[in-house]
Amino acid sequence: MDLTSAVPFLLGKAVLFGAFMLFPFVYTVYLTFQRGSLLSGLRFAGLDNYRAVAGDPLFRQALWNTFLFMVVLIPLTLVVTIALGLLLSSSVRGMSVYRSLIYMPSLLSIVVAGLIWKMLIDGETGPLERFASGVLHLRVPWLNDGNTAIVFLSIVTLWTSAGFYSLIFMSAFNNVSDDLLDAARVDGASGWQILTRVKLPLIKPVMQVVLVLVTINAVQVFDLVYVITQGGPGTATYTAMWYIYQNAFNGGSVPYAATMSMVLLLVTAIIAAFFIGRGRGEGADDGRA
Amino acid sequence: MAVHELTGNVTRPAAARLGAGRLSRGLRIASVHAAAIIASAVFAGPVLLIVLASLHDSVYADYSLTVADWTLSNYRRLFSNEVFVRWILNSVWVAAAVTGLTVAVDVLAAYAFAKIRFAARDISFRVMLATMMLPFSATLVPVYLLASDLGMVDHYTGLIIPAAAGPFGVYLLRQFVAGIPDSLMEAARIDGANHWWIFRQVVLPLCKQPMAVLAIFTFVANWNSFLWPLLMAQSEHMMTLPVGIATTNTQFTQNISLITAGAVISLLPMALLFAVFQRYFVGGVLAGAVKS
Repeated sequence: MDLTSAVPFLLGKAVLFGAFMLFPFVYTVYLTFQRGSLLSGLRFAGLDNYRAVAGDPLFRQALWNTFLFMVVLIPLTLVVTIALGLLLSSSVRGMSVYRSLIYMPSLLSIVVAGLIWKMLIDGETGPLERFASGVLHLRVPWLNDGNTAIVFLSIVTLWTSAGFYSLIFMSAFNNVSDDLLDAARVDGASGWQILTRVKLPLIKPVMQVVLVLVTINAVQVFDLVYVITQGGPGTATYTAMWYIYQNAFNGGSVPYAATMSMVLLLVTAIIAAFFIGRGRGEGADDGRA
Repeated sequence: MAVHELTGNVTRPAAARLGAGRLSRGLRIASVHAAAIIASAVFAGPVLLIVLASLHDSVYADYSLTVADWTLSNYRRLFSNEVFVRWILNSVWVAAAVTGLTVAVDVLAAYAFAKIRFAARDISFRVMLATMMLPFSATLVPVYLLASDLGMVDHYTGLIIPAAAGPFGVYLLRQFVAGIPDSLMEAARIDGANHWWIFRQVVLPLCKQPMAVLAIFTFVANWNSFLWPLLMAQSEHMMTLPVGIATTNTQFTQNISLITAGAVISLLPMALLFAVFQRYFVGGVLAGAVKS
């Protein structure tokens, strides 16, 4: 054991991590059992905050909205980015140009991405709106309807994150051994069979990682809500993170905000565990070595 | 790092032998191009529209392609605006400082976790790893309270120091340092070298590439970061570019083309970084996801 020689190496990270990660998390848990404010003093509140959160219709709506957002975003992301990863892993000339173009939105700050898409659906000059109304003769309510707004938020999120996940899938597909694919071809497998029976099962661990990453990011959707809808129309696009932010920083109760973030954490953990557990179970069923 | 494998070949001789000949191969390649062009248009198209709009001096968004109408007046106006220039400088300084701090403390910690035996090493590393899955919301409120107690709100310290607390870099670099064979260090240790010497002479030179991956990753993430700088920057002159663009949106909305120019300016450094260091971006993606 060599703690003395380890200390100088660890000191910097230990201070930063301890002060701004570990301690805040413990303090969040502590806050959930308190009432009052930091100025007037905190008092023990037992489970009152949790009871209040459970009975808060606006929080339930915010959770529900977050859930809807995820239900649209997660399958969409998985299908689109696996398809793109497959596309990018094929070696035709000029693929690196396509790769850069597809990755471009991933370089944008979400704020900028939100502004761009708001312009695209602008009632006067937005190209998307003009296409929808002029060419398709559709009257899309865009941000005036809660459900459309949530779908819109999911699509913009997909647009800003697909490049990143596509690269992950691309490298996963590239890592599938050529010998295996050749063996499948010699056995007379069609292209579709090779995809569904060989390639997709082999990249399942990567899918799991992507699922967890998408989930963690989706559950705390905030930036886009801030730039695009501000929670509206009404409270129709209040997401959990938006409501927590409103409570913590726009004149709500800090212990209450902390309690909501703990509930949100529990929900995230359950969903992530579900994806990880499910992946494992199915992996065992495949009978692969 | 599997960077070279990324352009791996699909033109396998077996495929040519078993396929229905040159025609179907040509058809396949054509359809791959078609799909890739559609995907590129969907993803890059909106960005190009914004670039186009930024070249017009108009109150409403104008996407016309007539080159004769193009002007750089939006850019000139932004760069002559003191506050806007300040946002750019803030963004550069904050992203660079967070990156420097993160890489420095993380490579040190990574060395300790990989090559020094100390009490509770594995358990403390595991606790750290677990927090990678922790959503920011779970620590947000106390981090803010702590930062305001320490007087960091509306100061660079508040924008920079808490942003360097995350565990990702330690995880990324520890994996790499652990892969350096002990035999390389044993010889030095027998000659009486201490950990500092080994760290500086053996480990640091070998870690240049993963450190570059971490640096680029951290820089891009912080250049684009929104929620934390939004909370820390109370006054206009402390804002970073995304916060400035988002919050003073109203000030700019009289002129939408001005916003688009701001958006392009915030994208440009990232696009440049990506063009030059593309393999490090991909390396970061791989390290961040595939191995975990």
